[in-house]
Amino acid sequence: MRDRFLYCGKFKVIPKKVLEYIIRMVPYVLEKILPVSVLSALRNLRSDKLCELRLRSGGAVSVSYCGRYSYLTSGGIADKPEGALKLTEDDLKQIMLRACDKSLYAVNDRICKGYLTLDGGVRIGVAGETVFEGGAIKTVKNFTALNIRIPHEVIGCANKVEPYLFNGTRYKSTLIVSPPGAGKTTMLRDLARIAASRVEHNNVLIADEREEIAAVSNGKPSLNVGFNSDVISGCTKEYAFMHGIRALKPDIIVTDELCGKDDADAVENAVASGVCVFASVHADCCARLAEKRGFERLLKNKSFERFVELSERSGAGTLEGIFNQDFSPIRRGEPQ
Amino acid sequence: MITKLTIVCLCMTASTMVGLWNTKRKKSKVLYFDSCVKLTEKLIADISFRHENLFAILNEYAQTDKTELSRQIAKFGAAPYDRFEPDGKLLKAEEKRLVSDFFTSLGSSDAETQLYELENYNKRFYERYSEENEKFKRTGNVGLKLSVLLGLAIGILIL
Repeated sequence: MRDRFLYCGKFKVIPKKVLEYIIRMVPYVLEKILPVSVLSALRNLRSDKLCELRLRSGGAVSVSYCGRYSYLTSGGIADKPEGALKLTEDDLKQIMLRACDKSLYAVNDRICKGYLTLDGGVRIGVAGETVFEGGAIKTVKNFTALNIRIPHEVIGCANKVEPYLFNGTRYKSTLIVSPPGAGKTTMLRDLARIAASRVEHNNVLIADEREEIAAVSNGKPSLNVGFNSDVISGCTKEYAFMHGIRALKPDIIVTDELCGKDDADAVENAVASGVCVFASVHADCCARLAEKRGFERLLKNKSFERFVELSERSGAGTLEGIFNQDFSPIRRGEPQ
Repeated sequence: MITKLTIVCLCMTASTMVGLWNTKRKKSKVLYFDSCVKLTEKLIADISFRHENLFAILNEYAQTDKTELSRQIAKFGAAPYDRFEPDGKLLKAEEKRLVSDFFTSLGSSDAETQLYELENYNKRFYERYSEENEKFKRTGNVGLKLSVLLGLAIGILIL
């Protein structure tokens, strides 16, 4: 019996054949935008292991699958680019048009910032020829490369760090530090979910600039961010923090990818206003944070009381350590 | 006598029907281009102020439209990423090309370029509308009267 069924919780069982089918299902948003050749190839892969698709005009399609890059062939994946699927510039344009529901004008400001977020938090990074006018990017044309990142909601991945961030009455402001693709956003989302689902009733505000944390679609978060969370998406952190603190009275603000002085100032103001902040930043390790522009004052003022360091060493989301505001380790490595 | 009158009446009815059909066809072309003008105006307004999704705008418009355009919107919605080719006999080849270019251009550029294109199509559709309306005013009613008279003449000639 155990061979054919996967036990899920106390009572429910999922037949293994159904689970196998679910695992091989390509996220529906990709079904809508990708060419048939790529879709057929993806059906040979497990969607839970697929993190990224890199599409280049005239180049071989590559995927980040099971934690490493491979080339996508009609039968699955290969280590060498020979025989890999190739897409044209026109294919990339078609993908972008499908991704925006043939309403490029409606998402042009995001394309100018280099990305487009789809339902379910799928994000397309865009490269192409930028059109400048009056010192600002007007649009991006002739797309040369698209990087499609597929989010993975890992419910419970923050359970191992959450106890170190809660002092019994309130949460401590925390910065998650890791290189790209190491699971920062996934952990932030789960932290938001845990904090917004506590009986103590924390009001959690998610400042989702790139719409990756909650992936709001038609006014509803499409990923689980807890039931006491409010989401402001698609705007700058500065705006979300300022208006959120004034109008929504949050206990915790969750935001992704701090970058530059404006973001650091917004965090500093929020912490000074008595709001706890969970944020993430791209960095090799905590020791290199001071090298990041705009972070000097944030570190000097000890705005963050906890630092969580993640890496890809043993797969995305590997916990390297949790540190206090003086960078002294509170715990090192994954819990046993 | 009754047979003769019946023949005349039949001829007149037949030619009137042809005249009415022709008048309706011309009228529907006027209404079609009028609808195209209104659609471009709606697109300009909704894109400028709300950056609304293209299909949401088109569907909202199609619900209130009673011309050939609503059928074309449905056809465009079924295959929006292919080049749009209008069918039917209402439009001439040149007009079909204009409509085809219009639908194909929708949603493929940034807001500024899209609005510029829409303003341009609005002007061109308005020109077509004015032309067809003028033609209809000139020949629409006259055509109907002529067809009635033609039917009468044919009836008399048969007798």
